[in-house]
Amino acid sequence: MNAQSPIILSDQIQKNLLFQITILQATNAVKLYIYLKKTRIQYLKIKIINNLANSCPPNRCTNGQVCSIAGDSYDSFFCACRPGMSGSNCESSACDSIPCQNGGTCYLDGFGNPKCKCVPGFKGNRCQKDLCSPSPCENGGSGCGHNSAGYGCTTCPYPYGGAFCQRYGDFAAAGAPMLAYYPFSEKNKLIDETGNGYNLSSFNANPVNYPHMKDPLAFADEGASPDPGQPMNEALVLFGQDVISTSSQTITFGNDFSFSIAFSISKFYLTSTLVSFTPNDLSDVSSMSLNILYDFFFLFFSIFSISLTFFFFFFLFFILFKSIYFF
Amino acid sequence: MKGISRFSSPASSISLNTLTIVTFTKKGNVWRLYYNDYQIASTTSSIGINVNNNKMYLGYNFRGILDKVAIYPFALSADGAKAPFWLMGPRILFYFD
Repeated sequence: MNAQSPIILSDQIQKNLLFQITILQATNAVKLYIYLKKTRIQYLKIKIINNLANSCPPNRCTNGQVCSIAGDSYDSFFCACRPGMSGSNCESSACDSIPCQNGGTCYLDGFGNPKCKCVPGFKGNRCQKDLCSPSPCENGGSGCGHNSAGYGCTTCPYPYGGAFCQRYGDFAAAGAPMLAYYPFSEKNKLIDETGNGYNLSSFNANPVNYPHMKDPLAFADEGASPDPGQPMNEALVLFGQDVISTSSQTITFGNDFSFSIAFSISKFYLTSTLVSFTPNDLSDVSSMSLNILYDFFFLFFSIFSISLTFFFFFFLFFILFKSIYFF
Repeated sequence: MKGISRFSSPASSISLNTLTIVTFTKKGNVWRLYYNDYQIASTTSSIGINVNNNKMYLGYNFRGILDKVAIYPFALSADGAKAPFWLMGPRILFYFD
């Protein structure tokens, strides 16, 4: 405490009660200023006791007790419970009668008042307010629940995801009964510049009812910790000449199905194949592919534009040169 | 029905180094192609696909990042089939061969 940071005691002082100020530990000289505002003093006694704290017998107070002094006698030490604690051994706490709800933990603040520290997903004086109610799920999401990490929505409609279905494009949210889902779990591990195809023995080709992932879209965060116990959510980086093939597997397409692939392309080729199937017992077709084609007209237009620009500058240079030559 | 059967998007504006989700769905005989949440093409085909023990190949002449592949046992729907202003450029093609 110094002159710049006074302690305001107005809340603790009550009318017609004896009030005592005791400084238990003071290693340096102490100046005590008492400012009385709108107060009618009936009794004022100031007694200076030097080195009071050192006079308290060592280890006299245990179990969270604090050494205190009764009355104005120099020798009248006693052990008092900390604010909020009571009982002969300070075994009772104000928290005993204030149960925190929903896994909250009670603690005593500096004045001995019980407070609740809530687990993620709850708030309120007694942690009684569930942040899942009303539902925080956006974009039609549902199934808000809690776990050790916090709270979030367990079901997001396609193509939304994220803890509250707030992110566009995450089709891996829980609740989607996918036949198969392939989170690429080994970033760059499978890349080989030899140009040979790969047979990914570690490729998870089994149908997976994959649980919710926290941040499945941010490539920059792909290395961040996913949900505990779940595979890393990494991306597979391809360099153009690579062909990735799954090991032999079964993908059963019914009459209705959907196939989604999330990708980011860094270079256009005339034809790029995202995915293709070469099934061995297709009834009607022998293969199916999803390709990205670079439009020929666009290519032609691009070349034409570049050529036109080139000839324009060539013509400009020619005129300039001709003018300089004649003058 | 053997032979080439394909449906494709108009010349679209796929951006480089941008996360893109392409989805094709089949509901009955109706095939649809989505680019992000936009339906960009559809066709009707009686082609039936019964696939077992097949291999899936990913990325031929593809330079970039494959993030996820998902297969659903139902036809997804996308909100808002509004077509964007398609620019000339690369397009997406889905074909049976």
